[in-house]
Amino acid sequence: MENKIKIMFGETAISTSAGLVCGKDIRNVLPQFSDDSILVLKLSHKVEVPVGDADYLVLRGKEVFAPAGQPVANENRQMDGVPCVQFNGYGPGGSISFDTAKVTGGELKARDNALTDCRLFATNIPGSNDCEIEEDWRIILKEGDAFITIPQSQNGGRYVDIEVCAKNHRHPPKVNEYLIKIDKEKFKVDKPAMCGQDILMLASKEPTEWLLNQKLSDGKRVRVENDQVIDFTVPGIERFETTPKEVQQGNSPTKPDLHQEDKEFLSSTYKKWELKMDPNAILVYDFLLPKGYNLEKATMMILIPPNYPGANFDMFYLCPCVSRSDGVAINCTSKKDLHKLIWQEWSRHYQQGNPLPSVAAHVSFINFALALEVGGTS
Amino acid sequence: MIQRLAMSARHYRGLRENLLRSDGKEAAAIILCHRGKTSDSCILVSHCVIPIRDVATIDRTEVRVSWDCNRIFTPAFVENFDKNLYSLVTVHSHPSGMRSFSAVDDYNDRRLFPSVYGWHDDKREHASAVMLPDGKMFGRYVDEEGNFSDIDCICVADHKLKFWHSKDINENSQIEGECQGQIFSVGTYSIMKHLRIGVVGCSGTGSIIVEMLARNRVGEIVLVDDDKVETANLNRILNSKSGDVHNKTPKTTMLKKAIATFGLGTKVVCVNERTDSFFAREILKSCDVIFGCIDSAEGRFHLEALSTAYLIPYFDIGVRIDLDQDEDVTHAIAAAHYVCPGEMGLRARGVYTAKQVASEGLHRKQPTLYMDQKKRGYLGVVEVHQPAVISLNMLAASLSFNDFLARIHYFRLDDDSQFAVQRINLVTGQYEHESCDDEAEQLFLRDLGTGDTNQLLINV
Repeated sequence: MENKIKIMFGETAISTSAGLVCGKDIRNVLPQFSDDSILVLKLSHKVEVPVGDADYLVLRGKEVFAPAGQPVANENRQMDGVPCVQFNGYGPGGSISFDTAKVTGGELKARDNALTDCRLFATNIPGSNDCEIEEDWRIILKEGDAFITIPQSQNGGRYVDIEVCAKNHRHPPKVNEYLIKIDKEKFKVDKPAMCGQDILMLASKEPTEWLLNQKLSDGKRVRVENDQVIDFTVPGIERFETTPKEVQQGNSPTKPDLHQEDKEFLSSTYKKWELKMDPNAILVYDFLLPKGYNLEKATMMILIPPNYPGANFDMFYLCPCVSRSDGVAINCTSKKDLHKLIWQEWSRHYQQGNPLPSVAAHVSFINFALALEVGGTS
Repeated sequence: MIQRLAMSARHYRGLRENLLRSDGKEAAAIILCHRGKTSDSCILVSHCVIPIRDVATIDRTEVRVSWDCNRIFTPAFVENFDKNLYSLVTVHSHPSGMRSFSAVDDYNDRRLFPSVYGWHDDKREHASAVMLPDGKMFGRYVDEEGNFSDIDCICVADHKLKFWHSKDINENSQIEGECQGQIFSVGTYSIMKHLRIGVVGCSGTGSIIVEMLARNRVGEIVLVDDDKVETANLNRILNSKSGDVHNKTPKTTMLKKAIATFGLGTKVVCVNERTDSFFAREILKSCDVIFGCIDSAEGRFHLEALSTAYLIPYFDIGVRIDLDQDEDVTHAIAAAHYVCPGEMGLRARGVYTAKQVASEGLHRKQPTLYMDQKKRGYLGVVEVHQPAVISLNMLAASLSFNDFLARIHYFRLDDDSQFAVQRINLVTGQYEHESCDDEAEQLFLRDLGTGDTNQLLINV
């Protein structure tokens, strides 16, 4: 994440990273600053706040630091001009103000009237995750600071439970540890965003067989596609719900399948073959034609009827269309547009249905029909 | 989780012959099973029985049998076992009549089964069972750690149906019709209360079967029908009311509500789909018995396939009324079929044809192709409007239901195999019955007892 910023120390610009830092950290990046000098942060032209080693502040860029011009009387005096900060700006709260430049985590937390026991985070830090602020830390308030509170986790864990946040109308902080609820179970995740597919797999559900919805705090359900990325920091996501996909209903396409014996026959007889969907079919590439046709080979297709093997194969298709070498037109053929190709449909039917349909048997039938057409059978 | 073991007639007979020996000593066998898994049940379905013959037996006494694993569980066996995704069920006899597993059995199962789980990487279930001198069986699933859990029901889909429920095995209950005075009352109830019965089609014949099942206090009924009650149904569907038509109530819901009013405690599951739905088939595969009350060829094919793969006894009900040009009745037939998995099924008997199945499948999934083929005259489908008559429906449904009762109470004088199909023709005044115990067609035999690995229902 890009979080390099520049801060000023007197007239000098110093490159550092944005984020929650304490006074000691700042001293370490400043050049030639003696330990016993006092560091101040210039909030404005006239207002300076001394920065103690243990004081925290959020560096966002363009902060101006300087050595103390004069001895500092009261480290944390009351003053006007303390910048307002955003507090749960997305929910109840809005902006709040204090009359001292430095406040403790506890004092900030106390401003949340709804939650008695909560966790506090500094948010909106450029290029960085949100940072948790402990009860007893003292933080210097600056322009642009924003804070959020969320309910305490069960068992006091570090993971942010997004269901609990949503139910309490709180904005989840941007961290690396979340607890997300999928159906009835909660799962730990270690990133702030996840795609639908990964969420399903977390709950041991095959993305090809299951659908995912988000349940929002207003009761609305929103579908999550497999490749759609869900940002856990977006407020209002209570939980995720899975639903099995309907595999065999009219509208859902179903993958065709063949009996094991059929697959073995195809694999052992042909170098290249494949199954296609809608309409379900077997395609055999480089299918050899008997002598008497204008081509030596063509792609051959057999449609797999619904209920196969309870239903028989019927007819066959060739692509490209073939013609007899002797120029005589082939009876009972027509053109069909399927799977983005033009096929020659051969209307050849079994006299009597095969009680045990198989690809091998139908291929024999096809070879017989092709041979018969050019007079090759006795 | 409901746990079951289902066996085909042939397998059970073979097992019985091998286990109940005339010398009164224990014997053992192995059943290789496929599985049917649903959300609330696991069914082990017999695929192949391997008797443990004398050559592999180390010792047999009245209370113990020990056999040589080296001879049975060869490397080739284990490879085959892993590749074919089998579950293992070991069975031995208790000639002493002991109705529970012994300490020796416990010790042995705890030693053997954890190893068996090591023969495969995927998740499977294995079990151990016992056959008593009268042929009854009981058993338990054994998990990877050697924990036992009762098999709730062991069943055999023979001409005489057998259901052995773990809850009853220790009671002196007259399950096999030994006391005929209790038939049609307490005796029937004691069997029915444990059964989950699927009724596919909730119309003219289906609603009547449902009534009979519910009033006989069957444990659970699964209703499968995607239709809503319409005005035209009111002349024959039991419990249908004009209010249902007005509310467009699904037939399954209508029946479920009616059953609730009987107050007899039957659980009802409504599935508003047809057999072409994956979910309908999922639930049906966990049923102990299926009644087919439909007139579609596709539906019958799907039920035959389920019956074959999961070894479920299948009762099919049909009615036919033919009228000539003057609207005189030429045929009025009530027919009841019983399909024993592994034996001649409905297709072999000519109740439906593969061509009809193809045509209906096309109509459902590729309607444009269907219309095209119909126009060109390929389909040969003749749409016949048959009048529906409640009295004929009831005759057919009763014929089938009484057949079901006969197969669980064994009261017939002749062998039940003689009644694979029964017909009553009102026009000729004939009643006839036939056996159909030839082997099933190869198409079905190939998938007998294949459970979830079946390749009959892969293209629905």
